[in-house]
Amino acid sequence: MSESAPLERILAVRQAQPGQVIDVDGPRIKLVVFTLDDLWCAFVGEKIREVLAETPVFFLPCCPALLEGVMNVRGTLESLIRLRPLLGLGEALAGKRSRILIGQTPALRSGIRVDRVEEVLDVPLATVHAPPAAVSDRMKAFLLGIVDFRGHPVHVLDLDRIFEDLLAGLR
Amino acid sequence: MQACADGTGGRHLPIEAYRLEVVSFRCGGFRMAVETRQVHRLLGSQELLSAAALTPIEALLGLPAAGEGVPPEGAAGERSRCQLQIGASEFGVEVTGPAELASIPAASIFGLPALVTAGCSLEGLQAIALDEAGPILIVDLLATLEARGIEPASSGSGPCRELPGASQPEP
Repeated sequence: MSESAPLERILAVRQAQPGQVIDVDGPRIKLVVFTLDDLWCAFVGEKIREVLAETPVFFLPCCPALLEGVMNVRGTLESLIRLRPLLGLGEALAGKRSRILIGQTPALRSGIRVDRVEEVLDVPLATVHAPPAAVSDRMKAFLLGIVDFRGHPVHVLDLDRIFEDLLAGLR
Repeated sequence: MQACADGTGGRHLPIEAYRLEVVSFRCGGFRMAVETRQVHRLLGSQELLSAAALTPIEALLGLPAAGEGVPPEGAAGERSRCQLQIGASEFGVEVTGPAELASIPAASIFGLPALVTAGCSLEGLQAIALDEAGPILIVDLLATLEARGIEPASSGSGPCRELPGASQPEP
């Protein structure tokens, strides 16, 4: 139970127990923040080439469920993957706010379907916390860390690892 | 502007200067095409190739049979026969018809994205062409026939359409 106290006392206590100090002059990182249902996630910005809105996607036969299809992105044929099953989430229909991130790593370049793109952030690296223990094994495999944003824990995902695992699983 | 080697000494022309001549057909609800140089003859429905010697295209390419996710309009329909020639041997393939000669602009033909190469189990898929109606899957039927060790069909002498530029028997 909290105790009522005069402001001076509260300020004195605050001064004696400073919050975490963030070094805003330290290294920073860009994050592309998106959602999958209520799950907030992000990729490191340098791995995302662009964000596409409505783009025609063509289904191909004999492909694994993770592979939604292919699309023509300004003269280049790109694959498109569904991120949800990879993270152990249920299927969702592509809504109007659905977006496609074009991700690129040394191993692979592909489109990635997400429910919504929320923001592109530029945050101090020091604000990225280590992953908590209480995440699913499937998520843990791809999790680099957690950032707080708009009151949500944002799961920063390792796109290199995702693409490498995808390729390894398909071969 | 993209350029393309013309195969006659390394001279390059704009890719718009090239077209791919194909035999196109529908299979399992998908538009497909095979290079005309792989097809010796297109046979009419009265052609004398023994039905037992024909390989259904769905089986050859590893497409699911009707009722296993194949759209009904793709599983049914007129059947056509292609007679392929490798050296002096001839192979018969039955496709979901009608099989037609077509010419695809090279600029609309794309190599396969890495994920499709790794994950698509459609036999012989070489490239994908995109036009206003969607994708055309360009397949290598000869390589698929050879890989499967399918025996040549005994050729008949009924009405046929010999294709211009088709491979000629070796002497």
